[in-house]
Amino acid sequence: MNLSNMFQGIATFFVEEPAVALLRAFLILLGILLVYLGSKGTLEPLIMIPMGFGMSAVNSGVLFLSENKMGTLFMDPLETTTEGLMNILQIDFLQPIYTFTFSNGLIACIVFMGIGVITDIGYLIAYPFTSMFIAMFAELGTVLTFPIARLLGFTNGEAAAVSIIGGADGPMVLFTSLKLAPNLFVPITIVAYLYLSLTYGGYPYLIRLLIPKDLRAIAVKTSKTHNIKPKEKLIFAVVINTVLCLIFPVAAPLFFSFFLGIAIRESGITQYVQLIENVFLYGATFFLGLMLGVLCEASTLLNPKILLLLILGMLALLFSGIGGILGGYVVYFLNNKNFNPVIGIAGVSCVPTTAKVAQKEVHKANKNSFVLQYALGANICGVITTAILTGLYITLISVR
Amino acid sequence: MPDYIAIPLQVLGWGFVISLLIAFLIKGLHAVIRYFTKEEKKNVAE
Repeated sequence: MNLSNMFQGIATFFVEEPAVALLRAFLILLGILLVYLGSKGTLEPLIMIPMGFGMSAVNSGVLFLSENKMGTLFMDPLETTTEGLMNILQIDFLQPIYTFTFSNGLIACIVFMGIGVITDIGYLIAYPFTSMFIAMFAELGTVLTFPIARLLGFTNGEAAAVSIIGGADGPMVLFTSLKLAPNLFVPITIVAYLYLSLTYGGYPYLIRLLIPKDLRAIAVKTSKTHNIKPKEKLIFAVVINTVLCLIFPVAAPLFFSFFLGIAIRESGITQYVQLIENVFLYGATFFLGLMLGVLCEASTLLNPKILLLLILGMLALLFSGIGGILGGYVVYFLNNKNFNPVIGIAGVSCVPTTAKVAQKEVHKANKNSFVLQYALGANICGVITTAILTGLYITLISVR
Repeated sequence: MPDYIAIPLQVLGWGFVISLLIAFLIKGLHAVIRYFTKEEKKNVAE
């Protein structure tokens, strides 16, 4: 009796290359760690728990698909031929979800629709200049990472796709890498989403490092109250969506999804609000986390460029965080110190994570200070500025 | 100027310009919407 045929998950460890086997073991443990950190709230639990589970399962469940080939029954993200896809769609149980919702950006658009439904755009409408200003500063990573990536040997298209990670918009990264660097689509997407989840854990430390406690405790005083009615927000959503789609068709699916969510919220159709918020948003977030975990299979990640992408992704988000806080400081001085610089971090458009991080850090310094509405304004403008930069990169690189 | 400097500089420059224009657009749009919704209310009241 051949025991290696009975316990293939273990047997494959001894047959594959040592580097792959070691990485598999590491990813199994990392997956378990992510579940633990997610359950404690250190990292975003909505993403980390399904992601950690998927990561440990896919790296455990490796088997002999044929005499010379090993793989899993989860999915194959690198299969692109039509015939190959049709075969795998009938065998790998998560392949339909990956092929029909993840790789074409549908799942990202559904998440954006859900975010639109839970977001109040009142502050954005009332203070567009402040929000846009901060959001542009928070694109520092998107700009600075490009020359660094080029110097490390990436092409213009690949460097642009990696740089957009600094915009902290998962869907935008998906679109840019599909357009400009399809050969790096899988590793860039994994790195981008992984780091977006880690901003929840890392940015609070950046805030505490760069902003002293007395400034973090500032409660912003607004001289006039802006009472923007739901009808105004609804009309605004319809018109601005049309205009932005006209100007930036590259990001039209995202703008459409986001402002549709806003329109549904402001029109008061509670059945749709509940459908999108409870079913679509949480369902999409769940499968997004799961897909990310399952994508972290050792043989997929052992792409020679992945280490560089990991470093560049980290740099991009670090620079963007620093840029956002810098923008917060500039507004603080321009507004005669009547502004909390922590709001600047929300210019990094991981909606609504960075806005929540800003509010949490401010609340720890001063329980009477509420900055969430200002932070959400910068958050949403961050989406717009990332779309602007995405469109510019695609335009400038396509003509060269 | 090499590509790896020219491209991000252009992205940054045009990015700021377009963002400013979008901010003006948002402000202007809100003013227009507020004007027309006030007009509608006035007509309804009459």
